Amino acid sequence: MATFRPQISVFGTDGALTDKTVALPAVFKAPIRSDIVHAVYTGVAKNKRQAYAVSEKAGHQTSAESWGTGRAVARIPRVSGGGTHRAGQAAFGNMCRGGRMFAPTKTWRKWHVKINQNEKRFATASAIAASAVAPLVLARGHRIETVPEVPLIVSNDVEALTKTKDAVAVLKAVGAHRDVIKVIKSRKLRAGKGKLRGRRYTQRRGPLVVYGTEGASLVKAFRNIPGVETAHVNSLSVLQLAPGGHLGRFVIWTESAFSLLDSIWGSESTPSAKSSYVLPSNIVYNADITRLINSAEIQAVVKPSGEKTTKRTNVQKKNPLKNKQVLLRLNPYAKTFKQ
Amino acid sequence: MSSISNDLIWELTRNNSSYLLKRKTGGGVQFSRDPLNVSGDYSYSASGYANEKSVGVSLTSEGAVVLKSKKVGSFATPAKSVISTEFKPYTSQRKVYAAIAGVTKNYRDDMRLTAVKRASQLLYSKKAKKTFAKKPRGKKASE
Repeated sequence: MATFRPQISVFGTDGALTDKTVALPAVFKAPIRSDIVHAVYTGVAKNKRQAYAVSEKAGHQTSAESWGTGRAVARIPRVSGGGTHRAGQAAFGNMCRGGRMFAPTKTWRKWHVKINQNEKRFATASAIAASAVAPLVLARGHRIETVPEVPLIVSNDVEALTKTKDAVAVLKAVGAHRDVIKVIKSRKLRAGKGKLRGRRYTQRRGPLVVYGTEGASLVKAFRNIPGVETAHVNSLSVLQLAPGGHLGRFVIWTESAFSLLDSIWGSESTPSAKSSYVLPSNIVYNADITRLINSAEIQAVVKPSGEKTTKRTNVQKKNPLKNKQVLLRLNPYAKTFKQ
Repeated sequence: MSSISNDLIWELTRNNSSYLLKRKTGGGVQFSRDPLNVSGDYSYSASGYANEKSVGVSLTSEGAVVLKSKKVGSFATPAKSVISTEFKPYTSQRKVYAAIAGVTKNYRDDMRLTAVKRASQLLYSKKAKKTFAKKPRGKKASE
């Protein structure tokens, strides 16, 4: 497999094939591990949270004291004084009206999750590899039926785009606009309180455009297209490559980004830019079970299949204690025994 | 490109994918929305994306049957991977079934009957239902 390096074609801004081809970087051979991607995603997704908590004073702004026993009321602290309805009402407890909540939330909750660097890299490599498998991209819900090739590489001219109009034209030309239409159609009012908190709508994710030139103008050209995100090759993360922890984001690479992948992640010939990093390798060389079962090696050692037995269904159950023939079938000695 | 096997693709997507339709009723039935799945079962053998060969039968809004099949070895080129045939709405049903049976033969023999059945059901569904006037009985009949 190491020598198997297929060439991927590069498409121009007009969607036509250019005469350029790029070798498939070694990251795409990384093992696809949905469990690792999911675990890393759930951790990393927590790291952007903002602290929140109820007020420290909430439910405690009263001088309530318990009445003690003997007054035929519960021993919960009660608001002192008189002349108002509040006097004599229970206070403080989480079961009380106007009381504090159970275990009030604190701002010093553990908001962030530490994930091992190698695990994060494994997940990212895995997500990159999955983005090149068309069935996985389809199963994630991306509409790539009109895309000419997966992984999809577009020429570097795309990085120099400044107008959104031109960016949309490129997406249309390479058959990626169906995925944008899916996003536009999916826009729905969010359920729940999020509506009031600046997250009014929900929508699907569209293609991720990955570029290789720092500060490329395509970021501005693409940023107002619904669902389309942009990222630099150096800053790829599972958050964008596997939204929701689900593998197989539809990624559009620019040629420069694609050719940088080998230097970032390393290959058999080039060392990785990450300090002494080696890409994870597959434990199983061939995961094609059908081929394994039908291979000569396996077939040579398996037992030949026995005679086919047909199970008789819908047959009346006969009682061997009463039916002599059935008894003899089960216990041939019964004949001699009876004599 | 996909050095990744169909078995692995299925294992990665069997619990969660955009094609999976889960219902809590009916003992938690699982159906597939895959356009290249004729049986509608969410299973490895029936799935369209995790098989090298698969067929799909659907109906256009005009009521024409569309037969789709996958080209072998074209997983890296989605735009060219599906062969689609649209039958004219007036094509006789027998011809549609014969064509579907012909395409699936030696291609997906296990899905042959299911594919024809699906086409038959789809065509039946667009047929206008006959309505009969209710025959008055008893008192109403004598009025």
